[in-house]
Amino acid sequence: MIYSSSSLIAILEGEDFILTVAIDAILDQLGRGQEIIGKPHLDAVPELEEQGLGDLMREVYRTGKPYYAHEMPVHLIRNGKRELSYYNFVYQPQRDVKGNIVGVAAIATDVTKQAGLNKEIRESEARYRQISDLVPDMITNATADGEVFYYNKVWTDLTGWSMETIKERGWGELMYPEELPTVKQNWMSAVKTGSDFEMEMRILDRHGDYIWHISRAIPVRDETGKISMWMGASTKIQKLKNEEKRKEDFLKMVSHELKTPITSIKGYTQLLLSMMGDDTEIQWKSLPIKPSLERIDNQINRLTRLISEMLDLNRIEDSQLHLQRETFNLNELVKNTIQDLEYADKQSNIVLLKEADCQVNADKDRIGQVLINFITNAIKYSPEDKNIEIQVFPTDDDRVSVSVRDHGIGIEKKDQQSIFKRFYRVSGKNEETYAGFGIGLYLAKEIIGRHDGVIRVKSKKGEGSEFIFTLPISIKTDVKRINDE
Amino acid sequence: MMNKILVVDDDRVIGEMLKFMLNSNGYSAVISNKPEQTVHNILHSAIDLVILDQFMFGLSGMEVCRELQENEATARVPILMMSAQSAVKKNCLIAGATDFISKPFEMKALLSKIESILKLS
Repeated sequence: MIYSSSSLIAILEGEDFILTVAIDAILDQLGRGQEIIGKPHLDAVPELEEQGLGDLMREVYRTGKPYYAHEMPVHLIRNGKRELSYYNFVYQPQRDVKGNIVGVAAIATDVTKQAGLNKEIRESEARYRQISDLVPDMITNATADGEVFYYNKVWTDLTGWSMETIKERGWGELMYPEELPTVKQNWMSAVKTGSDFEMEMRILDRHGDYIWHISRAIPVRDETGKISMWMGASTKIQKLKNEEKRKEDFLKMVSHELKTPITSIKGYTQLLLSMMGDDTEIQWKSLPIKPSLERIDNQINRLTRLISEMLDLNRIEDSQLHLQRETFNLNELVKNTIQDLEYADKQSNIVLLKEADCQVNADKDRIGQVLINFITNAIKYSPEDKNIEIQVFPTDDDRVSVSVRDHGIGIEKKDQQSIFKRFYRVSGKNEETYAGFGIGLYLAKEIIGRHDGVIRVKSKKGEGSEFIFTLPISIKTDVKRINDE
Repeated sequence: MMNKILVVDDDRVIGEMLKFMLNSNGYSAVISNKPEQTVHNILHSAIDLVILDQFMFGLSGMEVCRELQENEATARVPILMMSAQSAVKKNCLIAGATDFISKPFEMKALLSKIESILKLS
């Protein structure tokens, strides 16, 4: 039975370890022939003694405790050549009937192939760990189920926790408590769907401060496409956040400082206007007072919009433009906006041609802002014909559109897509007389885009323009046309 | 009887302007540029409505708003908050403001807000 075993077996008797039994395979492995049987083993195969295996055998012989080796590299001289092999083996003490140790049995398996692969894997792994400790990011590896099993050294450096503590207590305790539920939810959802994870979050550092990071994780898939693990990295963005905060604070201050005097100017202008009543005839040294005050009031509104646009532009660049959604009647908003603008601008004739009663779930102020932008542009670019037609109409079962049509100077085909770009100004002798930053339509496009809507323009040079935005309807059953022909 | 309105804004010019605006529209306005005296002013002058600026140095409008909410004697007085930043509207309402108006405002819009708040209270 012994001789048919795939294991390599040798019995070494006495304290000189005389080789008494050896299967042929072990002789092949040792690179020796039958001649070594009956000889002290360490003399017959001296390279074993050189590599410390003699000491191990003597230890087993002396103590009676077996010795187990896993993937131990052993050099053997075969056909005059020194060769490296790897073995799993055990040195087992041999006892007589009285229990006295009389020798050592060596039972070994050649695992050179496997060990070679394992070694490559281990080396590759060691290289990976080294790289992951070298980068300044916090690196994690998680199982396909999302359980983190590896944290790189940066985690211990940042948090001051030992690797054991991090593994034991988990990453959850290091997250900003208010963000933790969202982080967990997003992470679970990524794990469930196999989609990439990305989130800005705060992580507790060794000084007790929460530091902003951007965290990303991607699934690693095997050849069948199944997720085998997740690799994650978190990059410190605290400095960026500080800068963003400083900028935002500064802009808030600017906004406040600019709008405070504007509030007073507008207030006094409106007070004077209200005192004039309906009397447009009053003049002072041939200057008609009421129309002048109305102009001042209009210019104040324009200045206010420009300040707001500048702030919005900054918010969009920092991805800070958050929508405050509510469900409201779009038709009502259009009506109210027209009313407000008509009150402020008495020269234009704004007509609501078509109405559609429908609810949208959107940021009311922002949609109002887009409408004001469309209408004030229509007024601004129509120096002659001040008739502006507005329509609210269902585009299909799921969407509703608002269009603002003017009969002004129009836009050339080549400029029609570019006008939605930031800072884009149509160049031309005529257009240069119209002041502006080139922000309004860019903001309108961003705002409508954030509502999963579409913005477009139809225009012909010299024949006016029509600007249209389309939004998803929130409650379908509410669509009904009011005065459709 | 004429409704009494307290205007709290650290900008004196806005305060004066609002006083004029309110007085010429049938209200009796009291102006203050000391937010920390708001509770005292309300109790002292039998105020029906407070127009409160959100962005003030020293005590912020938000803090004043909370203080008024916490004090039983002032908790029922309606507050109309105003700010140059329309984004703070939500937070103002959470802090206890009855309504909100962005600066700068249309006089008509301000008067209609005041009217509807006073009608409700």
